[in-house]
Amino acid sequence: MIDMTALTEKFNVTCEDGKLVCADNIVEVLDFVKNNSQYSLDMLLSITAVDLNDKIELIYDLYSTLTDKNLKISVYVRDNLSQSVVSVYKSAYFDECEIYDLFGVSFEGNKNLKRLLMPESWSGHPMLKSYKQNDERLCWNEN
Amino acid sequence: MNYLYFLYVQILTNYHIPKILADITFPIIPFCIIAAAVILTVLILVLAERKILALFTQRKGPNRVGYCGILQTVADAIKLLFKQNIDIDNSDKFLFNVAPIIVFVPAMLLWGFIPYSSEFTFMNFSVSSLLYITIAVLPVIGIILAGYASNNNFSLIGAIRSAAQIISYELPIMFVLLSVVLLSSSINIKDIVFSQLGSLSVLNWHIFPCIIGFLVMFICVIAELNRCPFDLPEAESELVAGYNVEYSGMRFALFFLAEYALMFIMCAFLVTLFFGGFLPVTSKYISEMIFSNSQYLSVCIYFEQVMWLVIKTIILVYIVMLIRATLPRLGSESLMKFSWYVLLPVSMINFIVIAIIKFFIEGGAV
Amino acid sequence: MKTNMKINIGPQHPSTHGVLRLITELDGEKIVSVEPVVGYLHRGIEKMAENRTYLQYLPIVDRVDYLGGFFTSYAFCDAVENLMSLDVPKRAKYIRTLCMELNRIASHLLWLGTFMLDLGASSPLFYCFRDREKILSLFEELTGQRMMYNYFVFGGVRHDISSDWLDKVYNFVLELPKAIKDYEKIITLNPIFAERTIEKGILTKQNALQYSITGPNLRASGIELDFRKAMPYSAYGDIDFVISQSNRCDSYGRYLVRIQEMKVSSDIIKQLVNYLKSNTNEDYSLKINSVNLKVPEGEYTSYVESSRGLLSCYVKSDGSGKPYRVKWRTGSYYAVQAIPILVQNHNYNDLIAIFGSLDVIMPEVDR
Repeated sequence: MIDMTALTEKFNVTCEDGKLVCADNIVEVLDFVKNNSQYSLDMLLSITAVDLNDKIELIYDLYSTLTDKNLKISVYVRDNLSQSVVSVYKSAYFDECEIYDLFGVSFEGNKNLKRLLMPESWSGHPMLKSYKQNDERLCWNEN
Repeated sequence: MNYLYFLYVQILTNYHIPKILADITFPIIPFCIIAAAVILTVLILVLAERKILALFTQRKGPNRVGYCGILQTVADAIKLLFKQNIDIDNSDKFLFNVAPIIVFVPAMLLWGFIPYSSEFTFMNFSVSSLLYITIAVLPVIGIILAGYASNNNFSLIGAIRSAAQIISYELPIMFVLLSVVLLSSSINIKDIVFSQLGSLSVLNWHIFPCIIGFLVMFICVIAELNRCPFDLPEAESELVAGYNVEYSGMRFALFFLAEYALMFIMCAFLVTLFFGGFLPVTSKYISEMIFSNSQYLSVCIYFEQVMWLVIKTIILVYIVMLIRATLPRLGSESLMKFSWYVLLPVSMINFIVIAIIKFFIEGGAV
Repeated sequence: MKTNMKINIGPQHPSTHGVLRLITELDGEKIVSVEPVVGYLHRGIEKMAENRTYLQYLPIVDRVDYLGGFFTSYAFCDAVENLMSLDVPKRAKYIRTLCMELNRIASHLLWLGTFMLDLGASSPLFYCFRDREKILSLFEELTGQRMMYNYFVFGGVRHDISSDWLDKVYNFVLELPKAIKDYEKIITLNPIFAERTIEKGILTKQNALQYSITGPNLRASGIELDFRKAMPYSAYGDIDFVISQSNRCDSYGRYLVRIQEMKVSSDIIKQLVNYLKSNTNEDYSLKINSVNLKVPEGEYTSYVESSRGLLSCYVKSDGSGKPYRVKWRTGSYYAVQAIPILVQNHNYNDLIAIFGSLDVIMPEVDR
């Protein structure tokens, strides 16, 4: 595990459950931990979105192939808008599209945001807790 | 051929049918023979290929229809006959229908050129080898038309590839053919066969002075047949089925027939050029040894000659199938490079070498 | 006026390994651009988790990657066990590792066969399936299933393995190197194969990291990252093995790495079988009742080196009987993203060859 105290002081962010909690400065933080030789977290393993009812948590799972250490950074999204990190890690593109598709979070800076897994014409975001469970468009729904 | 003709006239005159009628109706007979032979050969070849590929890959192959699956291709053919011919919207209907015929007719026409035995050639022209090569290129026109007319990107790419392939692989074939012509001092296929007849038996075959030429031509023939590893026009992993992706039923069957008919006859052509055609491997005809006193000796020899041709051809066809089971597909770029950078220079050098050999052996009689 | 040809490869196409759609723009045979479109196999596996108990969800997990059911199964079990702070018995760990390694070989064999089919060689497919069949028979004997095993349970494995079965596994891994040698004879030095793969689809180190490529694809780009070594899980900490790696960065390198990995896997299996044979009296499972399993509140991410790269399973529990959120991170998902940069300046028929070399399967991508 990476020592997070240095990061919390530098970026004025908090630490929670072994995760770094960032706000709007996520791009800045990622850019720093990726290029700083002390961390060199050169790989973004995944972005996980969790619907916490009042907000959506995005967990950026970073990994360093040089030091074999990983770091989790989380961002709380409240108004369905977050910063895109595609400029730092290109692999984030699919992740962001998927989160946009399934959770309805828009990413500022991601130009080609589109529905990735659901059909283009689909309305609603299925992975939200508030999503209607018996959608009439689903094939097994008999109503 | 004359023998067959006289036999036919004789039979008809026995039934008091005028000779003029016999003359008119006679050409139907070779046509029927070829048509029957083509269909029979294709049925056997397709089954053989499936069985051989199955053997290579440790499978059983077709084994349900008939004894050990020997009727499988017959069943497939019947199924294809009864299948619907699907018409494609926005396709060029006329070309779409005509393309399979353009592919199939030359493939069948080629069967007339091969001398099956010393008396048995349907079409014997003085320039038959050149004519053969020319007609062998015609199916590609059908392929291009099929690819264009079906209004499908996959088939169009297949057609373009086929055209590119035929252009690059036709030149080495011509150069090799030239060296064979040089060796036998004739461009008549039958004369080429007879020029391989000599006191040395097998050693008289053109394969020995011209082995490099044979290899070049064999590769080119495989390329012309669109078979593995040159099956880019119908690469099923990229183009689904290439030029014939939109075809079904009888039209597809024609493509299929043409492909296998061409494969057999091209191999027979190679045998004729390089392996003495219908000439026997043994120094004397086997029938000469067995039926030396029989009055039907000449008939027996004709049949034996056909047998020799077929055996040699089958060996070549087997090698073609073996290559299919072994090799992956070439890339489209190296396909071209291979022809222009390797095969063409090699075939030209081969031609020059053969010419020099010929010049010294025959003391400047070229 | 010159226009480029737009060609739509898939979702139904013989060599997109499922239902991937590639919108390709061609200039003659040259590829101008490729846009992968995914989602045709989306089954909502992550959403399913939220409506099912942990036990109900367990069989579905195998369907995330149907060629590597044991990996996904392990990833989920591992996450749940860690949330519950269960210590899995050593024997169970070894059995799980054995299953995963066999699964890795089976998956790589299938990849090799289909990759060669993409290149136009049909025979290797049957040879590979012949050997894969042996592994599937072993799995069938062990778990009753050939693909969706549902064999790992929370706290161990469903039932113990027999020494008879272990013998069969041992015999198989003794024969496997010979079979692999046979494949190499017709593939590795084949000039056409070399021409189709060498210098084709170059994935540089930087790009591999940028696109978060993991598994054999990453190791073929010269980065020695294997989560079996980097974060030893299950029994890998006790096992001695080498990371197969290549610096070639091209399709050929990816082929070499996978071939090497099959050999390494068979070595690992030998070690595992030896341990399992000598320690037969240990417990194979904690035998917890998972029918009304309540998992304590918390979140955990398990990392598994699957045959297609890093497989991670994020499980968040709110203390109830159903997972609050399950997220699958799979290797193919990121490999699909990298296709456009891999096929730049290549011919159309290299597209399929390069795509085949990445070992992408679609259920993993769409989930």
